[in-house]
Amino acid sequence: MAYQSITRAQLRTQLQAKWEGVPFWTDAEANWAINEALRTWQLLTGRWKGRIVLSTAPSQYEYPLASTILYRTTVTFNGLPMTPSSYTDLSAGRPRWRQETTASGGDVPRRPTVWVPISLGLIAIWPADAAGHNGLAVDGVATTPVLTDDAEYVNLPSADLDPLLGFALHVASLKRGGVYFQQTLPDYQAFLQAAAEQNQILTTSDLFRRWAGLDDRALKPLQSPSAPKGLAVASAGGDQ
Amino acid sequence: MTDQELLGEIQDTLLEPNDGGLTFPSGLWTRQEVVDAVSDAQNQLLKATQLQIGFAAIDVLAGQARVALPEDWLITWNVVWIGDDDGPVREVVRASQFEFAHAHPLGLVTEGTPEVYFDNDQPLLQLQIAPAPNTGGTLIVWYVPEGPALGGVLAEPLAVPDEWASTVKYGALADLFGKDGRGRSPERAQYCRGRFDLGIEITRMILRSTWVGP
Repeated sequence: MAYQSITRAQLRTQLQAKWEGVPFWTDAEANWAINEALRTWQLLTGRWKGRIVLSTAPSQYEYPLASTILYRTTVTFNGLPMTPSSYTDLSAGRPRWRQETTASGGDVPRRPTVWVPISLGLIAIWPADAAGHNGLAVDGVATTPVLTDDAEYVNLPSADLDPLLGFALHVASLKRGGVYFQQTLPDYQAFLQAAAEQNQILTTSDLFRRWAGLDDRALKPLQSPSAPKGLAVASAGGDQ
Repeated sequence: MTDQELLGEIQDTLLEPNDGGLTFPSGLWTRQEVVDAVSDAQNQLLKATQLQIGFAAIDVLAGQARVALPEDWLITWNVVWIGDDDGPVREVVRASQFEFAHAHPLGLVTEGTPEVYFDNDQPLLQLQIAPAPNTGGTLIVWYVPEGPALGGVLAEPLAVPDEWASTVKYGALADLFGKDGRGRSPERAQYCRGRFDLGIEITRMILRSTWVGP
């Protein structure tokens, strides 16, 4: 089930209520600002999920993923979980992994037990399925359900919409620059903080924490000012 | 997202009329400048994050130590040697001439199954394997390819997923706002550069296998 409470047209009206009545931005600009907010939200939080099911091919160890999955999180083989690893670990631990299949015998498992990401859209499994025609289910973060029509509903609860609208306003205001853009920086930080609440892994990045205003430099008086350079100069009033 | 859609968004941000990136009537930027800025930002993102991986299968003759890399090569990700006639499949690890020479100080190993590759002290777009293979085979080179040429007559999809299109956009805007002239906006250029760097940071976090999302 998807959320069906607010359409793109309604969301755009809410965004346009945040900027002054002078038509400095068109409806089309408002729409792409909203979609950029949705895509950035998805990138940071992985809010929307998806699943694809592949059929294994005999002795094939690499599997390209459909473009509906942005990146993969878990893989199962015939419903049985597979362990994630890294390409480096697999190559170091099993140097001949490409040549090993479920029929190899010895200490090679009789079903694929490990998967490794190679790139966003490509994974490898070990050992390769000798028989083929088995189910490989890949769960992951889906591509963003962007809004292309005014009647489409945004698939988010209303509680998540305010930081998104603030970010959309911030994105649109880059066009104006100066004080107007400066005044939207707190909206950007609020958006990043909301994303960090959804995905705590973001806070492991020092750069992210500084952009989100989560880095309490008062506790580190000997270190340089907290804001990244680009944010600091924009906060100082821009160039107008 | 296509290049024309992204160029249109850039036009909106630069106060140019949005026509899919066809014209920039203000004269502050030329169309080619903007297209080049987008291409450069895209390739910088690809190289810094290794977001997309391609591969090339290169036939190697016995005794051949150097091979030519594809023209769209940005950075090597991994190399695998497959000997002819069901020969060994071996991971070829990155090393340097210095390391290889010290691993074989007597210089007795001149041919055999390739163990290492170097791509840092050879001419551009060449990769050297050591030792040189004593039989023919195929070198599978996994690498990060450059994005396709943008700005053509037909809309071209970006080489990155749509979720990364804004990172490319801010990378391009950083260059465009930084251009000397009436369009120069150093504060917005620095802000856009920071957004681009943050996009790279987020991408690297995602590509580590421990990223599991919410």
